[in-house]
Amino acid sequence: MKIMVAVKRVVDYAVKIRVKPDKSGVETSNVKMSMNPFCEIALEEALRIKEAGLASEVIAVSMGPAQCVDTLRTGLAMGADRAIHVDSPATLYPLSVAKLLKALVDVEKPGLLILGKQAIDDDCNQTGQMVAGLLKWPQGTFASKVVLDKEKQVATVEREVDGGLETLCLDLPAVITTDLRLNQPRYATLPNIMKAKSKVIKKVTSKELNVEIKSDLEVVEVHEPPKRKAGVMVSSVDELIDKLKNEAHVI
Amino acid sequence: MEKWRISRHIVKRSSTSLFKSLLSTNFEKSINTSGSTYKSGRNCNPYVEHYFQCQKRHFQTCCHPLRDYTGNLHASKATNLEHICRIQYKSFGSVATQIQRNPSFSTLNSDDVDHFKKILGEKNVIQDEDRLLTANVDWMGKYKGSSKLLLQPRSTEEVSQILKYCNTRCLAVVPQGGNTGLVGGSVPVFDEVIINVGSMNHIISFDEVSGILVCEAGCILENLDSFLVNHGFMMPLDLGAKGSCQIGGNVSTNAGGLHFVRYGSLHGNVLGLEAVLANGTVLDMLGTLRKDNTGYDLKQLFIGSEGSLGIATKVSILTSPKPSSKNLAFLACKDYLSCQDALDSFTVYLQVYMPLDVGAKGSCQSGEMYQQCWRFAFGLEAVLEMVLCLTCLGLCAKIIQAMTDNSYLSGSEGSLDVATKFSILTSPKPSSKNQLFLLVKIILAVRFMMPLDLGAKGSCQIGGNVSTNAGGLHFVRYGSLHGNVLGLEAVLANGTVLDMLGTLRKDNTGYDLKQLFIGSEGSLGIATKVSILTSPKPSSKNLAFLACKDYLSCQKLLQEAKRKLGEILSAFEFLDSQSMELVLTHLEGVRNPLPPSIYEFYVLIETRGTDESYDKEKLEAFLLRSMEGGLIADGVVAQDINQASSFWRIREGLSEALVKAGAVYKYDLSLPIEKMYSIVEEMRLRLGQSEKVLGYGHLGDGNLHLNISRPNYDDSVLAKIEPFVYEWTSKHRGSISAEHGLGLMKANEIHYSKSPQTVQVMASIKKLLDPNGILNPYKVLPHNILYPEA
Repeated sequence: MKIMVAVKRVVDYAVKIRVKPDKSGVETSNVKMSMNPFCEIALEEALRIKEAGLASEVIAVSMGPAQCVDTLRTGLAMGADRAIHVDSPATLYPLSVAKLLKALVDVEKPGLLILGKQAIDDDCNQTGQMVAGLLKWPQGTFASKVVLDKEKQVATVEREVDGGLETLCLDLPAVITTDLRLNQPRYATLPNIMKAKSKVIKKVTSKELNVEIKSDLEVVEVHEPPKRKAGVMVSSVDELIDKLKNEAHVI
Repeated sequence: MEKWRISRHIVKRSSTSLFKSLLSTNFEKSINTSGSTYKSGRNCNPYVEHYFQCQKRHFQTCCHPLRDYTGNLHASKATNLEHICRIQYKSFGSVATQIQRNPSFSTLNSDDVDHFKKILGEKNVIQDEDRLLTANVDWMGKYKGSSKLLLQPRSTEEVSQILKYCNTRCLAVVPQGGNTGLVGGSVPVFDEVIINVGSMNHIISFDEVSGILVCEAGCILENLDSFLVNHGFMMPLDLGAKGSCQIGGNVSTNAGGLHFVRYGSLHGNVLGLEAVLANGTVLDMLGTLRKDNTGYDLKQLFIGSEGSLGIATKVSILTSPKPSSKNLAFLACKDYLSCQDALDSFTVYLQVYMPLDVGAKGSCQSGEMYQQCWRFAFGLEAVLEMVLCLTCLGLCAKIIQAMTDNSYLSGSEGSLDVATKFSILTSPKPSSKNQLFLLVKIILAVRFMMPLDLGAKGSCQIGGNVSTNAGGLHFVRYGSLHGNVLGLEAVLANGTVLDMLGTLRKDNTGYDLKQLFIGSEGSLGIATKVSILTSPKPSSKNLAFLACKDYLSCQKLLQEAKRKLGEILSAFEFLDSQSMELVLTHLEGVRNPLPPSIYEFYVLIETRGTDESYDKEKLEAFLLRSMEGGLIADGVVAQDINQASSFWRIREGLSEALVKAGAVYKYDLSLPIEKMYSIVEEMRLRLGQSEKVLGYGHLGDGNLHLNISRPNYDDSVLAKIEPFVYEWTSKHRGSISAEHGLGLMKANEIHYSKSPQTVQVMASIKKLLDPNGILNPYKVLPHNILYPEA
């Protein structure tokens, strides 16, 4: 069984986000880009499944401009067997990504598609669900534990929901999206970095996959959250009560 | 080059036309004897005015022959000198009439000469007229003295004896090296005894790991450079006169030269100095440590003091690995603003390691462009200097792309079109150039960073950093504050405000007093304002966490890293297995990046640059090669900032983990790198199995943090550690305080790192600047020296 993992190149988690002066989006030039942390977790899970002998191959997939290859290299250095880069200079929204993923699944025929639950840049949390719908596969989102049964061809997925854990049993092939506590991703070791140099990154275009890139969405404006106002020191309890009553209107 | 310009200014300033024509004639004469290269490269003109016009045009052709000229000067002088000197003497006389010989100086007699012969032997006491002529006149033939005696000491001891004698006899002396100075600093004015250190030309030691060279003052710069080439290193300074100038002279005049922009001033590169004071006292400040914060940094006073405080006899200097590739671009600029901006863009976009394609160099087609180019030589030179020392492999296409993308280079002419560049950086187009310039300045401003980074950065203040000469994590890349602090305002004990707040990268006027205050720990004055050189913020950082099987591998890895990673190497830290275990036990959320085993040593290598994928490729290629070579046992490379922080957390969290573990005895030592870990091993043997001895620190700077961790403080254990640790450090010529300073804790231990004479001079300086001793008392200097009567 093959496992396909989608990885996204995003502004690094630790970078302070700045909005472009024209409010058209987030500043990405000259900014450190890394693999989306949830995608790292997805890849780690796929690698663990493979290392447990339950899968034969892990394929990392990324979509976007040429620099996505760097993210795929990271994936290969972590241990993915090969990678596919869908070259697309245009901005991709979740539905287009889902369609592209479906097209790739049709070609590669993996038994499991694992994605991060959301990307930290746009926080859409839609792609996994959409691609499951397009593929008509069962989906286990926000997974915090995944157990695979090779013989019965099912995956048991534990999800963190309000008030407890929900356990789902999915028939394979299936789509799983990963939550933060599923695992702790590994580091790219030097021997693996060395091995990754000889691994293949295949480049395809949306045209070759017969997917038309268009979007029904339009970004109107991106702006920073309002700055928090500085606090004031109150000199007495009376003043505090007065402020809570007359300024904050909470008592 | 700039020295050459200085000479031009001097000449311009002198107003008498007689002088001009005399100089011109004499210049011709001396030049014509100096070899055919010069003649062919220069369109000689008998008039100074014309000469200076064509000088611009032929600047480059002039420049190299000048080097030859200096080299050949001594040969040519033999034949023509007499003639030149006669003319020179006249011209000099017209300028120097206002200087009177100080009558309190004695005149030389035969007893003196006999005494010197006793010290130096017959053949090193020179009274021969011809040989004296060479030493009496500077190489421009502009200044001439009338000394009757030239002494050639061969050792520091001899220099000391000479000075001791001269001091008691009140005989004036002039120290001389290669005599290539351009301001008449190296020749006698009247009858001063010339002390030429040219015979003191031995290389004392060279350390291939740290790149530290120790040699005598009379070593010729070019000889040092060719010695270093065999070891894959180079001198951090390069001058036109390198064929004859000597290192002692370079240091005494704080020579700048062609690669200043890359390697910085000698205040940062000279690690140690031995100097003989006027009374013959030998001041041994000949450290070979990158970090040493014990007391005032006295050697800084001697750097650039032009021989007026003492005679430099030995120098220890930090050399750089020789770059494996160099590229040079020759560009034409429309105006001075463009040059200035080009320099900015080079720094910001290319930083120093990126080359320019030779194919894209601006070919100066028209004579007009050529002239314009030189008119703004100053700005351009800086760019050239920078480009000169660029190192890298096969990146040309990328840079050219980057530059054309941003319109730094427009078309084949290679002219830097500032206006186009601005319009790309900023839309809509602002109207005036000044506005644009400001705007870009602002943009650039946010891309700069402080050259130092400390664990305490959230609360430490810059005044304190400067006063204690703080080091920190990126010292290996940006160097010490002695090199980065450009100016300082300090208030002395009596309230005098000392304004040394310059913002110039080069300033050789008088003693560099601010250097005294850097690292003086508030005992000489209170730092109130600081001007500091910041570096462009690197847009790409990479970090690797590596395991090594023994200390020797760490050491070799450092050596390789300096050579292969060159200028992008920004940190090289190490910790041993005990340190790693301690962090894993006492810090929450830290995991071993290389499970399951614990290796003997761990190394963190960080690179900083401007091109993410290129830097990463370079680092990875280096790491893979080192792994194949067996230097690295295992390793991981951070893939995002989060991973990088978790690796740094291990190294930076050590102090915290030590506090959590209980009592700790902390030592901050500077040691020669190859001996650095031996103290940890010896300490382990000495204290036995029961004590935890940890070694970690800034391997790149030879700075070890030795820590003994135990559940509680115990005087019997302390007695085993001290003074052993200080004695051991002293024995290996280390420093007992690399970057932390002396403070109260080590004020009385200064003698472990500094000679009694040096401490005595420090005390006199303290006395001079703070006669009542009110500033930060009981600290830095030993109590018995500060308060002898107590």
